[in-house]
Amino acid sequence: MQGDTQFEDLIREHQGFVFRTLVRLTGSREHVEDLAQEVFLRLYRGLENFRGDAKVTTYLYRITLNVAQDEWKRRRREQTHLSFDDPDAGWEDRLPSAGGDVERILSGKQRLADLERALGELSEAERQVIVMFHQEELTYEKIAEVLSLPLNTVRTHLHRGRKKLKERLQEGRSACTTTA
Amino acid sequence: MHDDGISCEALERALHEGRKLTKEELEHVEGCGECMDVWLTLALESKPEVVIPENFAARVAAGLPARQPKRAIWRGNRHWGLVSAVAVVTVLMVVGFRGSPPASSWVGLLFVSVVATEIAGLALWLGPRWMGR
Repeated sequence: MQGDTQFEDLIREHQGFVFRTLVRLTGSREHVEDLAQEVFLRLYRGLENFRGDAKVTTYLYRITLNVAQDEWKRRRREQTHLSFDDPDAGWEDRLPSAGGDVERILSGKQRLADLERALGELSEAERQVIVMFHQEELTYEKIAEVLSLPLNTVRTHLHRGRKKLKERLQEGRSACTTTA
Repeated sequence: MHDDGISCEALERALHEGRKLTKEELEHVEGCGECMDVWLTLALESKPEVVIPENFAARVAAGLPARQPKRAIWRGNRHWGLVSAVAVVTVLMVVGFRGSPPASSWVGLLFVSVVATEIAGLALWLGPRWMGR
């Protein structure tokens, strides 16, 4: 069918965005393929009643954020029921890594892992705004449209989110003293 | 220049160039607000590597549910809406114009006609919705 071929092209065009955003927002690569599939299925169903008062991409961004949010909530629920006796649960990965050796902590990879963790500690809106602005390079206007938020609120979320990230990454280290 | 002997400008250049930082430089980044800002921006701008299966789009498209032909459904409903409207209006007209008192004056005639039109309109409008449930 021609409609399905068009939809397949649409998937191909936007799958990168969907996968990347899901990975960043959920903080995991686990089930990302299933989640991406869910995004496109919701989009397909939604397109039946799509009135064209917004762009399809805006609609797709919204669905991606909603799917990521649902997954995030599901994981948090699961995490609260996580048993320390369960060898497959991977609970040790969730513990803070402060006790690791210095080389490992200072390595770039570790810092990126810290960043991912710090992102996970932000509010939903702050995380969404930061990922869309920095990673996907969307404008303030577009983010405001996707999240149905005023422009200034988007700016505030971005500013606050970055500030929190910085604080968490620096972890109480005192700032450098300048010597002119 | 900071007291650790590392220049923020040089370090920022290294960050932009993607050069691997030394242990001292990484320590500096952690403690310096300005350098941390640059590192944070670059880290957030870096897109996470994702592996998308080659046939992902085709597989999703193949698994989509078939769409219902919308128009056919609506025509069918409208048909039943019309049938019910005609039936109600016919009954009303027969009752209204066959010797019943309200229809014997022009006021009664007007009243019955208005009511019949309203019922026909409502049946036409609501018929398809109810049938569509």
